[in-house]
Amino acid sequence: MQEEGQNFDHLRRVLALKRHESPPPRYFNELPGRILARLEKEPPPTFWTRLRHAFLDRPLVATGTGVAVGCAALGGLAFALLQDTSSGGGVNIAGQTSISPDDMESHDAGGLPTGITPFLAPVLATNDASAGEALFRSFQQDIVPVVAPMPSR
Amino acid sequence: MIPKMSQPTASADSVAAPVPDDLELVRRAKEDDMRAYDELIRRYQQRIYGTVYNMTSNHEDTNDLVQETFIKAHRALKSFKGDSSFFTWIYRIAVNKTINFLKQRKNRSGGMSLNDLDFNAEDDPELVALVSENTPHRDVRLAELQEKLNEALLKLSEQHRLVVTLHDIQGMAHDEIAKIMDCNAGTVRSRLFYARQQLQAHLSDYLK
Repeated sequence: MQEEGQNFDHLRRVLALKRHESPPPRYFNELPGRILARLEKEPPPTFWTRLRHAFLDRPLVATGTGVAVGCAALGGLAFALLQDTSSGGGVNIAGQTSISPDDMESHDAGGLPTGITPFLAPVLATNDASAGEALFRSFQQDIVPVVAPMPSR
Repeated sequence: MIPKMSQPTASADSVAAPVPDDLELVRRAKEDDMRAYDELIRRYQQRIYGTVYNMTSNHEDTNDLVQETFIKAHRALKSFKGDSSFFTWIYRIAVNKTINFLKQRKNRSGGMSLNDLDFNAEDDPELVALVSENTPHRDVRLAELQEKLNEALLKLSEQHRLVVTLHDIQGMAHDEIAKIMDCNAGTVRSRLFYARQQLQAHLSDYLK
């Protein structure tokens, strides 16, 4: 990769032509004004815009925040599932069901089935109780044949 | 205040104000002094324009990219810590914007939109000699050579075109280019060598 054997003098003279390519007259007189006019027209950045720019300018901070949020979400999910399995109800994520048909049938005072894992309850509670119940019943129809013990013959 | 000039007609009013350096202008621009930012634009607009234009060979695209470069730089001023010169910092913004734009433009049809040659070109003795003696057709005009040269440059990759632009067209040193491109000077040299070889091959008819 040595340049000694190559003579680029002619090429350099041709490239000098590029220095003579100029924009229209007065272009550089007017350009700063156009840029400043655009800056003045810009609305002040919103909180979300500033946050986005802060993350874009600091990728390490963005990565760390993403990792922290992900860990918090996983931790919350694990905690909710642990609570659920330790209370004796709900579906074990390993596939070993501990729901019995009786659990599926019982409901709490608010009309929500008690067999539902705790982290689902707030979701259903925000809906109309009848809508939540309808959702649960359709779930029950889909799941019970799978999780209920096989009737003895 | 006694002026330092020796001419007896000089008055205190005609003493030139000291020219603020870039860091002082940046400091004032961070405090929303738009006149300071205007001065920064005026200092670097031609060089930024030249780099972007030589990368795109399109005046309209260059116009948009230069404006967006200065707008983005203004938004990001608070993050400029002075670790590098303002010149290097804003050049990096311009180069990154241009390269991203060119990568997107590959998927669209983007033609050349060349600036006219200024009146100095026809008087440049090197160019006149080159066109009249070293081309197979002696009546080849500069405009045709200009078009062929831009076509050849567009055949290079963005990185190779950039080193040729910064070094051979704009006269920057290898170290300076290395800071802008965030690589070492050896990489700049090797890219430049390869780019020149490619250009020489594309323009062989005009370089005899």
